[in-house]
Amino acid sequence: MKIEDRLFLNRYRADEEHPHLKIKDMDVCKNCKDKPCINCCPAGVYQWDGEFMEVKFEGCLECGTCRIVCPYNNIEWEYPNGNYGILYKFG
Amino acid sequence: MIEFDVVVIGAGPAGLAAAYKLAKNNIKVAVIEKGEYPGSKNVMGGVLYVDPLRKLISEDIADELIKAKAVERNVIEQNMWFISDDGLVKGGHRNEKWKEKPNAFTVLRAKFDSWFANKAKEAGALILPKTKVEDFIWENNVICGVKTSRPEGDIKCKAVIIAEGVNPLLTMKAGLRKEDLSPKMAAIAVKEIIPMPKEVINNIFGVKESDGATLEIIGSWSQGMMGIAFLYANKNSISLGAGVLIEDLMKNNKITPYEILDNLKNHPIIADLLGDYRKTANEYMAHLIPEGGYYSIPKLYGNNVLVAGDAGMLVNSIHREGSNHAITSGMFAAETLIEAFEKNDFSESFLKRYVTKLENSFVMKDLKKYRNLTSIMEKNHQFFEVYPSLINDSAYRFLTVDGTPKYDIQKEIFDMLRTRRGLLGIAGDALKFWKGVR
Ligand SMILES: Cc1cc2nc3c(=O)[nH]c(=O)nc-3n(C[C@H](O)[C@H](O)[C@H](O)COP(=O)(O)OP(=O)(O)OC[C@H]3O[C@@H](n4cnc5c(N)ncnc54)[C@H](O)[C@@H]3O)c2cc1C
Ligand code: SF4
Ligand code: SF4
Repeated sequence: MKIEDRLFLNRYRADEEHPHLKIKDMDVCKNCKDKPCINCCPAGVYQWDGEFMEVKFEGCLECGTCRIVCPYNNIEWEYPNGNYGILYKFG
Repeated sequence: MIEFDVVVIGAGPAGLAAAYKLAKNNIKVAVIEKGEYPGSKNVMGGVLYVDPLRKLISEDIADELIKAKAVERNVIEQNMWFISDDGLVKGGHRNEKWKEKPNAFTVLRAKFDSWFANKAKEAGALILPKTKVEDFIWENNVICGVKTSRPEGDIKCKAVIIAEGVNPLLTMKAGLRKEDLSPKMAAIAVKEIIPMPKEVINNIFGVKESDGATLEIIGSWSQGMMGIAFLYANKNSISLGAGVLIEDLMKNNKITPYEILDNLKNHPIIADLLGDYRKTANEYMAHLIPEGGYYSIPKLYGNNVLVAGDAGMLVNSIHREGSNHAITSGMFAAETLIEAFEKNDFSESFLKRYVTKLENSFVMKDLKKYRNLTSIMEKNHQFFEVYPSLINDSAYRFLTVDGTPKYDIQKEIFDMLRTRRGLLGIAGDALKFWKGVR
């Protein structure tokens, strides 16, 4: 199953105005060799287009993996605001 | 500003157990939860052991859980499978006694946590969902409340229990943890809920209505990464998931967590087991599991503050015991604060008795016993790669009848073990393993 289809199964309440994940310095990503955030994220949130790291924070499952794997501590990571973000009906 | 006796951060099993116990003892407690409702952010494989709830709530809790439909199935059989690319060796245990006195239920967290929160509410706790704790309020370097995401949402209190789960953001802010988790201290697990008719589930696990079973899978699906997969029976669905150590996933650096899950599903034996149902799902989720064990435990107490559950890294990942540790530690944290209210002493030196309670219980004893096992496993990937394939190939050779005399077959197997792992290697691994579990 593709990751988009998987995320499509879930309910989210996205806080469009307040992204809860931010790249601190894009130049650091440019020089980050393995870019572990891309492979380790279970929701495919991070995508590198050669110049720029796109962060599709709306699909985030709030696990915390990207925070732990980023070797340069280059992600400003927090949980979405109360009542926003992933909303599991089974869990 | 509102005031409570105690503020609990997080409505997971740890926070709710603490709140239940405090409220039962007439202490004014508020539980703050960022999710829309308790459980809406939470994930676990799904094996909930009953014993801690018997101790916290009542001896009849198993019946109550069933009646309230807060649980899925009563686990009467537990299995462990070792798979290679094309083989499977099974181990397991079923017991009739578990039918009489349930040992564990499978649960879905959204349902179970909501039930548990209602239980705490009935006892007198206030559950405040849709609210995130942002920070603490300090006075003279001592925590005296929390700041929340609500406008004018500051709450004053005498003590705080941090039960925020595996990401220790507030535990760090409280100064109880100096460093964040490292990639060797956590596994990333992904999970799907796959809906299935009851009869199909009963067939897969060989059980009857309402009886449940669990299945843990080690082997080739993880491509040598330290990891474990699971398949648990719910009422009308199965929980299928897989977790790998983050450090290993980083080193591998090619495959994503969901591709690993697909690997597992597409293994010929698992694909046979699940049939076309493996192509459908109701929900997809991800969560971290603390794997660091004993050595990764932060300071669990300070002036006016205690840490319980995953935030304290109190998980025994070898036995997939986490929620029971969370409930037990939450209960001990509450007991400690009840004593603190009696003495009116919330100082660090008084609250230290929380750790003594943990040390005298199975929680710390088990974590201590296995303190080196995780790092042994971590450094010895043959446990996840070479051995599952060796035992499968040995079993295959032993059980395939092709006219070879058994003496020669045994010699072949012996040679295979020698070339693929080396006799010294095997002896060394056995010793390491023994040291880890002794
Ligand atoms: C895939 C997987 C499988 C597992 N399988 C099992 C199993 O089969 N059996 C078992 O016993 N254990 C299992 N565990 C472990 C078990 O889930 C945990 O040990 C247990 O849930 C820990 O409970 P907790 O209350 O400490 O934390 P959590 O259950 O994580 O609860 C923390 C709560 O705090 C809230 N929160 C966090 N920060 C804030 C904030 N700033 N403000 C407000 N609210 C906040 C969260 O939303 C959450 O509700 C598994 C875990 C995973 C991930
Ligand atoms: S791991 Fe960190 S530094 Fe590297 S690409 Fe990802 S966000 Fe950027
Ligand atoms: S928290 Fe987890 S799901 Fe969200 S972006 Fe980071 S790795 Fe991906």
